[in-house]
Amino acid sequence: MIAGQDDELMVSDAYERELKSFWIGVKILPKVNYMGLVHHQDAITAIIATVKQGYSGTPNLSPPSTSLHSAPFDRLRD
Amino acid sequence: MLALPLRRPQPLDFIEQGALAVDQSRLTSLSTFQARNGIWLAYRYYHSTQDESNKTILIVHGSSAQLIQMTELANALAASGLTAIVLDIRGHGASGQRGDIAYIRQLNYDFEDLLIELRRTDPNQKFILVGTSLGGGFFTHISTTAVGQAFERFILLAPFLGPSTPTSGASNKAWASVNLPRIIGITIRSQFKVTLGQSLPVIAFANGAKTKRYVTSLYSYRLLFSFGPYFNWKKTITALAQSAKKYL
Repeated sequence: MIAGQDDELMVSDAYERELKSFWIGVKILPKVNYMGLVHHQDAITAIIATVKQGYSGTPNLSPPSTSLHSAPFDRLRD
Repeated sequence: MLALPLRRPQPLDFIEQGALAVDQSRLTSLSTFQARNGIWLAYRYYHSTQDESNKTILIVHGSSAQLIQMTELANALAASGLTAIVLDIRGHGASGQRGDIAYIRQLNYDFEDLLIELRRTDPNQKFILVGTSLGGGFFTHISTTAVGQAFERFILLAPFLGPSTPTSGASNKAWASVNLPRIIGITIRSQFKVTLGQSLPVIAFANGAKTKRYVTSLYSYRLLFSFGPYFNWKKTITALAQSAKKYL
């Protein structure tokens, strides 16, 4: 999870506080606001780095075990 | 309850400036896929010739936005050797009627249809989801479904995790004005399987006139309850915890 320290809409500190116990990695970027998360160079660099971490081989990279049209999903349709 | 008017909030400058700051000179051509109900939905493909993996990054925009606002990120991913797709979630941009969808959870099926379409060329293709704001909150809907299993990872950018969560700042009220009596009225009807009223707008966003061309300023009940996270912090936290456990 990535957030900007100067986010006007979200409480960026709260992400870390609330979610760290769920093993969710949180990265807070200084001098980045809400809209800057997809425009600011630091944010873009951080997003690319986070995506590439997965490419270098994190666990659980196996393909999905069930078909996209699996039973649980079909149940949603009813 | 349903007849009470929806108040439109005052435009927020930083939102308008951010929306207008997009460099549209590097947009790729618009692609479409046909969803199961026959409607064509829009996406843009940012292919990297250096990318030898079978992975595609799916970028989901935030509330009121559309794919154009993700252009810089998509271009930067492609320039760094990663293939990315940005899509207009149904009800936004060039996908369907702005501000409304046909029924609750339709967006989940759209996602399923998109992945089927993308896997036509490579059945073993894997996906990483990058979701912004409400688009990040949307992942809580899909991560626990079968379609969520197609994703290797979810990267959430300042996700909106619910209206009364510790992560939602007070300014959210300035960004979005909610018609709570109408939501309660429609929710009560929905308990009795009455869908009448679900097409009514229940939330208005603080967009300025200059961005009208790009943004979706009103959401119907069925769009809000399909695109947003669970409106229950405990349920959202449970979905997050389950996903984190799965991807560890």
